Amino acid sequence: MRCINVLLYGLKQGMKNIRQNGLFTLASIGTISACLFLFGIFYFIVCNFQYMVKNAETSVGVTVFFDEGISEDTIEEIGNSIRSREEVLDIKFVSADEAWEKFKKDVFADSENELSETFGSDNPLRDSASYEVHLNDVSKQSGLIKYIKKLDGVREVKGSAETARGLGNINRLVGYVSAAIIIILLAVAVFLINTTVSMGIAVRREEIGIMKLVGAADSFIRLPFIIEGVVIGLVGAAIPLVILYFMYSGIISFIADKFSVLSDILVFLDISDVFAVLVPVSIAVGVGIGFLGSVWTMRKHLRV
Amino acid sequence: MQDNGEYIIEFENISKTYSEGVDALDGVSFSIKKGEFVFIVGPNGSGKSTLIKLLLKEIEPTEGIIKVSGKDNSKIKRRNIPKYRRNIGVVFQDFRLLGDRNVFENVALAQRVIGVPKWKMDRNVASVISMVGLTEKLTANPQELSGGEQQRVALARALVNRPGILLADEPTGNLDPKNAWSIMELLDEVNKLGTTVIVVTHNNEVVDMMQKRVIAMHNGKLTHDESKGGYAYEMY
Repeated sequence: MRCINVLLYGLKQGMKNIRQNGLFTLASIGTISACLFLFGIFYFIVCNFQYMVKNAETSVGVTVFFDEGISEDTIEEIGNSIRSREEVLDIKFVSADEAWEKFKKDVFADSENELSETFGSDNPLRDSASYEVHLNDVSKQSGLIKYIKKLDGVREVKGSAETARGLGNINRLVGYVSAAIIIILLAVAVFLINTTVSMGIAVRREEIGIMKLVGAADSFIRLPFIIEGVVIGLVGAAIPLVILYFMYSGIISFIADKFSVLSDILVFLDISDVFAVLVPVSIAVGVGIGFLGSVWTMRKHLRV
Repeated sequence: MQDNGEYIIEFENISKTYSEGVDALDGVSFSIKKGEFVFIVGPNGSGKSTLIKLLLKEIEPTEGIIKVSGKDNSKIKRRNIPKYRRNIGVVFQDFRLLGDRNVFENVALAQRVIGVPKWKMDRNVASVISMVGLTEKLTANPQELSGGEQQRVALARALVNRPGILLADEPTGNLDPKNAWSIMELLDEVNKLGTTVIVVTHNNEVVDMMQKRVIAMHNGKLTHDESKGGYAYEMY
C-alpha cells in the first residue's frame, strides 16, 4: 500500500514536471523520436537486406557443365564427388532438355511459338546438361569451384558469388553508417533529457529542500524525475513506431512498383517479423535513454 | 556526573571549519534534556546556523561528537539520514511553504514523504491544523495567509510527523509582536506535550518573557548557558 502511494505520488509529480517543462519535454521527445525513427528506417533496410542476402545466398549456386560426349557413369561419379563435400547443401542434375525448357520459359516466354518454329524439336543446348549445386555457406564457393574444376569430365564451372558478396558489402556499409548516426542521436537525446530533468530540478529545488528536511528518502525525491525521463523515452519510442508501422507497407509497395525488374531480388520481410524485433528494441532504447538520462542528471545536480 | 540517558541532544567539544577556512564553531559543548525548551541566541556569524545544520546532519563537524537520543550522529549512514530527520521538525523564518499547494497539501507533504496511508494522513493533518488554529484555512494557498498564519502552517508541517525535537530557526523573524508571541505560545504548548523545543532567535522580548533556558553564542563559542535566562547582551 505504501509503495503504491509513493508510486502514485511520483507519477503525479513526474507528470507535473513534464507539463511544467513543456518545451524541453517536447524537444527531448522529438529527439528520441527522430533517433528511433532513423533507427527504425535503418533497421528496415538492414534486416530486409539481410533477408534478401539470405535469399540470394540460398538461390546462388554453382553450375557444373560437362565435356561433350561424356558418359552417364562419369556424370554420376562427378555428382558423387561433389555431394561428398561438406559445404554442399544440395545437388541437382539438370538434363539438356530441362535446360532448354527453362531457357525458353525464362527468356522467350512471350514468343515460345516462334521459337518452336525456328528450332522445331532440335535442342540447341544439347551439350548443356549440368549439375546445380547449392551451398550452405556461400563464402566457401570459390574453394568448391576450384575442387570441381579439377574433376575429370568437367568442362566449365560457373559461380555467382559476386551478387551475394555485393549485397553483403552494401548491407555492412548501411549497418555501420546507421550505427554511427544512431549513436550521435542517442548522445543528443541523453543531453536533452539531462537539460529537461535539470530544469525540473531547478523548478522544484525549494520543494526538494523541504522534502529533505521532513525526511524524504532519496528514492522518494528521485522517483518523479525518473518517471519523467521514462515517460519521455516511452512517448519518444511510441511515436516513430506508429509512423513506421503505417509507412512500411507503403514503402514496400512503392519499391516493388518502381523496381519491378528486380522483383526476384527484392523480397521483403513481413511487417510482423520486422516489428517483433523493432517494438521491444525501440521501447527498451527509449525507456533506457530516459532512465539513464534522468539518473545521470540527478547524480550531477541532486545530491539528496 | 551526567546521566546520559536523559539527554536528547549532546554536543561534545564540537568544532566546525568550513572549506573556505572559516571557523564557525570552536569547541562547543552542551546538552539538552528530553522535553526541554531552549533558546539559542547570538549575533549574526555566532555559529547558530551551523549548529542547526549540524543537528540536521546537513554538514559534519570537523571535531567532536554529536549525540541525538544517545546515538553518535557520525555513525548514521547516508541512506539512514532521512529516517533520522523524521524525528526533527524544523521551522524557518521564511516559512518555506509551497506556493502552488494549499494549507492541507503543504502539511500533508511531510506525511506523504514517509508513506503514511491516506486515511491516516487526512486524520493527522486535520488534527495538527486544528491545533495551530487554521481549520478554516485548510484550502487556502500560502499567498492568501498572513505571516503569522504561514508560520503556523510551517509549524503544523513540522509537527505532523510527531517529532521528538522541534527546531525553530528565527520563527518570529518575519512577524509582528502579536503574531510572534502567539507563535511562541504555540511552541510552548508543543513543548508541554513533551516535544523538546530549540528556538534560535534574535527576538530579545520573546526570550525575556518566556524565561526558559538560554544558550548564548559568540564567534563560534558558547559564552553563556542559563537555565532560566533572558536575552542579555552582556552574555556575549
